[in-house]
Amino acid sequence: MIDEAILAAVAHEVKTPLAVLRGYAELLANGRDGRILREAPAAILEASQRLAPAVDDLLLALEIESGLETDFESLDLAELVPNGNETLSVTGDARLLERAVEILGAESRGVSVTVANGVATVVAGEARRNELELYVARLIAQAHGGELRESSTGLAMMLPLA
Amino acid sequence: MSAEVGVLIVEDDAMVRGWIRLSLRSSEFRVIGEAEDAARAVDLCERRVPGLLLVDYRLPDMLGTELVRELRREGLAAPAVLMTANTERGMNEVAREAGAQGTVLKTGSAEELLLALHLVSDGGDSFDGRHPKRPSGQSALSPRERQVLELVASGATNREIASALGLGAETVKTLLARTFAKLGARKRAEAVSAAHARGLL
Repeated sequence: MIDEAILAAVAHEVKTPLAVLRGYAELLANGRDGRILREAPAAILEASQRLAPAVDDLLLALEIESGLETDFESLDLAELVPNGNETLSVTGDARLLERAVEILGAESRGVSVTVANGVATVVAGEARRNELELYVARLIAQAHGGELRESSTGLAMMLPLA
Repeated sequence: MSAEVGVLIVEDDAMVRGWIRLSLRSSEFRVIGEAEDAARAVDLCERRVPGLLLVDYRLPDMLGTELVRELRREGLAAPAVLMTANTERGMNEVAREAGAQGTVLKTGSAEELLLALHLVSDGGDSFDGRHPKRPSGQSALSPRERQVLELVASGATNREIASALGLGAETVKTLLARTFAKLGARKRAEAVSAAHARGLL
């Protein structure tokens, strides 16, 4: 179950952009002066762009936590995380694993993968992650029989190979 | 019309700072500075004299309560209001203990924000009643327990704590046991970590 500290951090990720949306909507409704009209569109756009993935992650977390049937199949992890030509067979849900890899840093310097003792370790790239993203990545790893490890050297997701 | 009150906004989220700036624009509150973290806030407080502090609880470098406590130690008397995005159990108690005069939820309501600022700048307090009260088992640390815990956090041994506070070794042990019980901790590191998480240090 989610603990209180994570819940507070997760709520922060969702409620902050929501508050900004409401705040600017109120300002626009109450007085359309030049500065509000200039600043509101960009702020509303940014808030909605932050809110959308946070809501998606929250729904994903609920889906996993509720134990709904996920769409597990045979997959090649190397299609998500390039590892030369080697095939990395895992049993998993492509949609969930794709999100986990994205959280691990696909947008910045990318992620890499190493294999040892039947376990693939996906090593995080440099990326800014919030508590909700870390929570979701941890849930996804656990749903696949693996784990997410945080250490002083970085973040790694370990997944058993099929 | 009341006199202008200079407000220092301490908030890491630029979007939220932008909204607060605009919300205060037609009021008697004038933004005299913005800090994205606690270090910058301390720096700004040394160079400008805020009449009121509006501080986010979750700052990148420390909790807002820790910042308020630090500024109080340095002698800053301006009223402080702590902001949170969501309700948090015990928030009003830890804010009060840190030396803040109020709490406000970041709901996007300029009216709520301005009401809280008006109340504290007039010398009152404004603690948002939507924050659930702290469970009775989690009573606040006494000043002495806090001193002991601060020394524990700095790496001091029991003997060093006893020496620094002029106490006997057994008294230090008792104080530590009481502090650990209040924080639900078994080890020194757990106690320090729990106290930080609750904004008690």
